[in-house]
Amino acid sequence: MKVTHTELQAKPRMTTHYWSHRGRRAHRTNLLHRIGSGLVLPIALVLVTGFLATGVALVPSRISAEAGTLLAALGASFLRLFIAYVFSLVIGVALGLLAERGRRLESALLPIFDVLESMPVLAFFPVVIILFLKANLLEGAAVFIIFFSMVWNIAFSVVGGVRQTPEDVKAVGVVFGMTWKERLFKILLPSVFPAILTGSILAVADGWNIVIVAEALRAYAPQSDKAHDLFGIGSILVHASSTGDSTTLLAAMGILVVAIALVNIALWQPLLAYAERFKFE
Amino acid sequence: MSTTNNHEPILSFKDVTFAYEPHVPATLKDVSFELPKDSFTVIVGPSGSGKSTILRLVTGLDKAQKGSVQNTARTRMIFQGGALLPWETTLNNVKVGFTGRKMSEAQKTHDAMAALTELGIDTLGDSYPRHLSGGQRQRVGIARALVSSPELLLLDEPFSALDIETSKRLSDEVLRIHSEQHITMLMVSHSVEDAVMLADRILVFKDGHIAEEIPVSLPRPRTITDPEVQAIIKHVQGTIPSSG
Repeated sequence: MKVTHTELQAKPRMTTHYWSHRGRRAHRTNLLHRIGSGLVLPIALVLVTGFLATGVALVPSRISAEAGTLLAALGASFLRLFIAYVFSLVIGVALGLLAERGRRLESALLPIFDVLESMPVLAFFPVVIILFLKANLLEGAAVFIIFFSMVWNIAFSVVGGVRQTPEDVKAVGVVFGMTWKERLFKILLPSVFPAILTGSILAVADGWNIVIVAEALRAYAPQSDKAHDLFGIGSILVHASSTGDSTTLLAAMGILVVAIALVNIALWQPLLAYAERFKFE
Repeated sequence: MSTTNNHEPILSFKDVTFAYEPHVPATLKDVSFELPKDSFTVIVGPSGSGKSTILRLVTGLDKAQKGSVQNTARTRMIFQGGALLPWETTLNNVKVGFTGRKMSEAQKTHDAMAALTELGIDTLGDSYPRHLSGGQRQRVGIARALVSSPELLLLDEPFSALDIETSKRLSDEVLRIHSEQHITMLMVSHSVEDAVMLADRILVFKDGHIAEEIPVSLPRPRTITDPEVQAIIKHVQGTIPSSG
């Protein structure tokens, strides 16, 4: 008996949906709505907040002169965040998979992860800076502290992802004689891909929070001043805030919101839609 | 290439004891049985009687703490619900069956398509599992298991998630494969009816040991309304304690 297949026609077009990583649910929308809610509204929010705080109603002309600096600072912060994210991704996935290797490892590692995740990362920042200062690696201190705030999101997401993978699917690799490497790349990593993605979105959000303070090293490093700050959008924000430069503050906030919204629309949304195919029913 | 002959058992359990964790009652207690080549054995029993643990020990997913499991056959398994990889197409899911084989990609595609054609689902090669019905998924799972020419096929509740009609069609398919390809089969099932319709031997499990071994010598295919079939069903049901 031949079995015909017609359900592909009924497959929803992912481009017409907005994907939320919180439960990875699709909401019907279109590009205009997505740009409206993801880009225009946040910018409007920044402008209104800025107006209420500073009385500046429009973007002053001075900002256009500073735009190049702000974009370069944004790029520097992005690079810092990206390097920390790559470390977090590799180590977080490895830790998550390690914790799910067996009951003994799980019961040994998860309590350690819990404690480390709960530690107030900024409270340890001065110690971290002193350690990295000795090696003359200030950039390393910032990347490390961003990494430390990100990695647990990914590790715990992977632990949850492995637990949600059906036992039968995990068994397929063993029954069909796959090597551990084949099982890792053909079964385990694809099965936790949606969890890695959710963890990554949360990690990057946490990373942005820490970038703001991690770049303003003068607040943490002993006997330091503004010259010790790392060049980035975070240090510009902190400096503008502390000197009362509301125009720069407003512009930096605006450029940050636009960048984060663009990352959501251009990176996370397509990846969340793509991750649907890795979902178990 | 077969590694067995008709005189040797293809699989043997000898005094096997297994517990999932230390200090908890053993799931299997001193279980011994053998599977002759080309036989079709079905294990029935209530939930928690140790049926599925047998399959985990055969495949090496778990190791017996006491006794020995000897499996000389190339073994594949059909899982409850198919256990397909949702991110792979039907064709690529079937190709998983070629793991460890040194074959060209073109040959794998050809053989996988042949298996899909044999099971009547060759039109679904490019589809993803989420677009398939339960019966179609199970057929893909069967194709995946068969492409590597197994000598021993394990079936873990293969029809339990299917409607009656689909279940009947697939059990006919399994029976056809058994008779045409002479694959030794070991199936775990809740359904006494399925067991009697398919098996030439039924092992009734109770509290981790074999409570009764019932040979079924009726010719196949069998009819569910046949009085002899009904008599065996009644007998097997009488040996299984209520799981409630």
